[in-house]
Amino acid sequence: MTLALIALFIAFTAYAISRMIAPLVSQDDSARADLLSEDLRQSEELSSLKAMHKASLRDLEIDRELEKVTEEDYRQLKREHESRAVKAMRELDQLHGGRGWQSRVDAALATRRAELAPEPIKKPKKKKTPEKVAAEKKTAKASTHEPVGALEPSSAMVTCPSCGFDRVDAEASFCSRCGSPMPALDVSRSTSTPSLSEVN
Amino acid sequence: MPNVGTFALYAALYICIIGAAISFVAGRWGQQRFVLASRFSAYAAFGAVSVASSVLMHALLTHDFSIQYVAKFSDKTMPLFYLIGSFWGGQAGSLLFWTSVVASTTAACVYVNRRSYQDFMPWVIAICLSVMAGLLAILCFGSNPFETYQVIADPTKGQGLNPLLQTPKMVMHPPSLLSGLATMTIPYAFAMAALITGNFSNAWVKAARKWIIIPWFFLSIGNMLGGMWAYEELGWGGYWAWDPVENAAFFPWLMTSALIHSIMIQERRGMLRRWNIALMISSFALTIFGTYITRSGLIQSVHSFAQSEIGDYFLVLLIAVIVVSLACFAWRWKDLGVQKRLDSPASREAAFIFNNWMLVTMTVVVLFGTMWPKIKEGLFGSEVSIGPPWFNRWMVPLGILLLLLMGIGTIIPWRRTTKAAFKSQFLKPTLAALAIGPALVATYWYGRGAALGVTPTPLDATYATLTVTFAVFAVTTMVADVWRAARARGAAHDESISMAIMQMASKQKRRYGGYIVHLGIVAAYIAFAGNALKIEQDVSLMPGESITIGDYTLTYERLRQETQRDKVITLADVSAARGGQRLYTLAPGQARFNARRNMPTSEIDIKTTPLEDLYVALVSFDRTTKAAAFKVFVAPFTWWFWLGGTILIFGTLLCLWPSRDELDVLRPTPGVFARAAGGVLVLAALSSAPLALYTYESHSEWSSAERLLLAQSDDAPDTRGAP
Repeated sequence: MTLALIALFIAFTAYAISRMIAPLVSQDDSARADLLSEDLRQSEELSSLKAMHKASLRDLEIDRELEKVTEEDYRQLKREHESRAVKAMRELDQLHGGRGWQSRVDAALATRRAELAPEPIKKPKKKKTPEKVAAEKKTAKASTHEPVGALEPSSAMVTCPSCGFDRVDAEASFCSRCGSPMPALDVSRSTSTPSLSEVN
Repeated sequence: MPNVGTFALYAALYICIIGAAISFVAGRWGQQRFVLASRFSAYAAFGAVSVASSVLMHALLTHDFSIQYVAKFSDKTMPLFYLIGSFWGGQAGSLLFWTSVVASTTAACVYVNRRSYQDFMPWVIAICLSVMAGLLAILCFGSNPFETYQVIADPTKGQGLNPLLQTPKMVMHPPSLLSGLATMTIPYAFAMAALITGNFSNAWVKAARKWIIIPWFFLSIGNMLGGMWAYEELGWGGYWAWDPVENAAFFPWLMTSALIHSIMIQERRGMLRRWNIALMISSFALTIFGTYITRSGLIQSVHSFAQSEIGDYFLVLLIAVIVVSLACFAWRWKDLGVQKRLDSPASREAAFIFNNWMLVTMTVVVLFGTMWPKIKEGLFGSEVSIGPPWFNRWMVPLGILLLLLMGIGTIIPWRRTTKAAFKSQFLKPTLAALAIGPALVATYWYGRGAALGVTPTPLDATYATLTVTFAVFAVTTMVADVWRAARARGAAHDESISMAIMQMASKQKRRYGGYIVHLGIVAAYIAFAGNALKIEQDVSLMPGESITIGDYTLTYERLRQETQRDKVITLADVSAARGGQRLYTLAPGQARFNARRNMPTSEIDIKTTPLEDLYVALVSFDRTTKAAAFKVFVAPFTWWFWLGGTILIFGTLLCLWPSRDELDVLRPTPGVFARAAGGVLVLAALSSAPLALYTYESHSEWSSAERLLLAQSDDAPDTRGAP
């Protein structure tokens, strides 16, 4: 078994050395793209700050329940942590194009879909059972972000070149899963001319 | 095969140097291709070191005595467990083990953080690979485990592992300690990355938090196993002797304990940033320093088998670590910012700062006590000996104060303590401690202690009483805290108390894992308090003679001998009775291993109960007259030290338990890992198939064929009889 281990590690080392050398000699421009852009670094730092202040707020609530902090100090510390967390979140929003960027993208997508979609055939309205209404409410609550109208992945979503996630908004600057920068797309151009060929 | 091992070491050294340079470029200029290359350089270094480790393990398991290390530290009669243990039984092997732990934890850290801390990770990799390069340079040029014999006069049997090390605990003690020392590299690298990048938000603390607990965990286990081994094998009746090498593993444990507490203050209040960086640098420097004093011959110790000629290499590494660390610290001193002031001395922040000062003071005391004899000898030429009485004189009162702080720190509020808070938080635990503590001491004394016939000194009695009182205080504060929180949660979520406690432990692992660790420490303190009533006697008896120790009557009955495959044991049967009633028979002895007949080892026999241990060691015997000399101890509450260690391990594991987010990070990026693993497996299968076949044909078991022959021809069972 030790011989098999030796062989396995030799193979692993050879693979790792090849992957170590490849980016340095590769002609692929995307491999040379500067990942450590200031935006991504700030985004990570701000997310970390936000998470840290949220954790501190959680601990503060517990300490308050256990009377390990006076009411006055609790209010002051809570204000401090909340204001820092909100500041971090606002700065994060700014990095992604300002607040409300997602709803602007959704509106543009909805307009585009309406232009592309055929006239729907009108069906008689079915009366919904209470169970169906409850199920629909539950589904609506579970989804984090609901763009207007039905989404067809191939028309509104693109695939992230870094992690392979295939449900990234077409207009997103960063992948919503791994945070890698997405190839730049011209939003104004996309509302008038479908350009699915650019998605990859 | 030794050439494969040597080549792997040199390749690993080369990869580390190149990788550190690539990581420097990646950190400095942040280019994607260098970031990717630096990540894989860490994996490549891990691979190369693993090749070397596998080659050494293969050589040990196949008894390749052409390699000096294998011949010196193993023999053909050793069972598999001890063959594996001989990997770290010698100096070169233990250094290779250390290096492989650094390599594997670096690779693990890189993998876990492959999508986060983008500005830190290149510097973390650079630091880790630089440390690995230092260790590999020592391996390649100072202590190569793959050195072969020049002349074809290979010893065919091997010298075997030091008999003192052939116990299960001693097999596990070095890798635990070495893992503790090695894994300290990762949080140190994060601290240095914070200094280099100038990022003094709490990012480095958040990233390094769990990596700080890991070395502390291994150092705790390693120190405990060392204490167990000393207690069971060395025959002096104790588990901690303030031996210089024990102290060398204790300094970093004390410093890391301080750091684990003070980073909480930085996380919650943004204070102590400079202090935490300094603590982290000190913890890592002390691991190198401890190794240097152990392996350089600078200090005399029962661990003298660990000494070697590579002390100077470690001195160079130590100087490099200190110079680089201090330079970066001085560079960023101002940027580390103005510290927030304490709001009140009666606050949790103050308690934690005081706790830190206590632990640092204890470190300085132990460091002074360890090094002063050598410093005085070097400066003044005069010899001085600093032994357990000196250490205990300082460490006992400091330790008791620390126990009190443990209780205070659990309940004292943040920022300031009002009168109302003091009343609600402190009053009940204080009253409980003042009532229950002395009552427990009195109950033990009148129930059992007085019967031992020992009168402790007033100072020992005071210390023992204070220890128990503060232990009750610490336990009461924790229980009260948990109870209050469980009641509040139970009311809010309509849960039973037990369900509420489970949910709390699940959602606040660090807090409640810490409480469990504190409980373990409290149990250890009970063991320390028991030392006030410890009895020791040296006696020489003929068969049939008895002695009285405490309220035990021990009668030496007979001497006998047992022959096992690898050793001969001489045993003395000693019966123990109390109040005229026979309790049990102890059988202390001495063993002589076949491979090392001139090095007998003690086989202590101990009867352990939660109240006390009855400990008998056979010091010497006369085969002709059957006279035997014994060392006998009655040691109250020793069992609580091992209980405390077990509780501490459980609590630490709870702290380390990964959250759901952390488990998600471990999931590999879709496609990449599968492709990599697939490629490696195919390559490994193709290259190892013929070798696997050869191995299978050559060996039918994981031990030598010769031992199998011996086993088959050895029909006689273990013999008993008079020597």
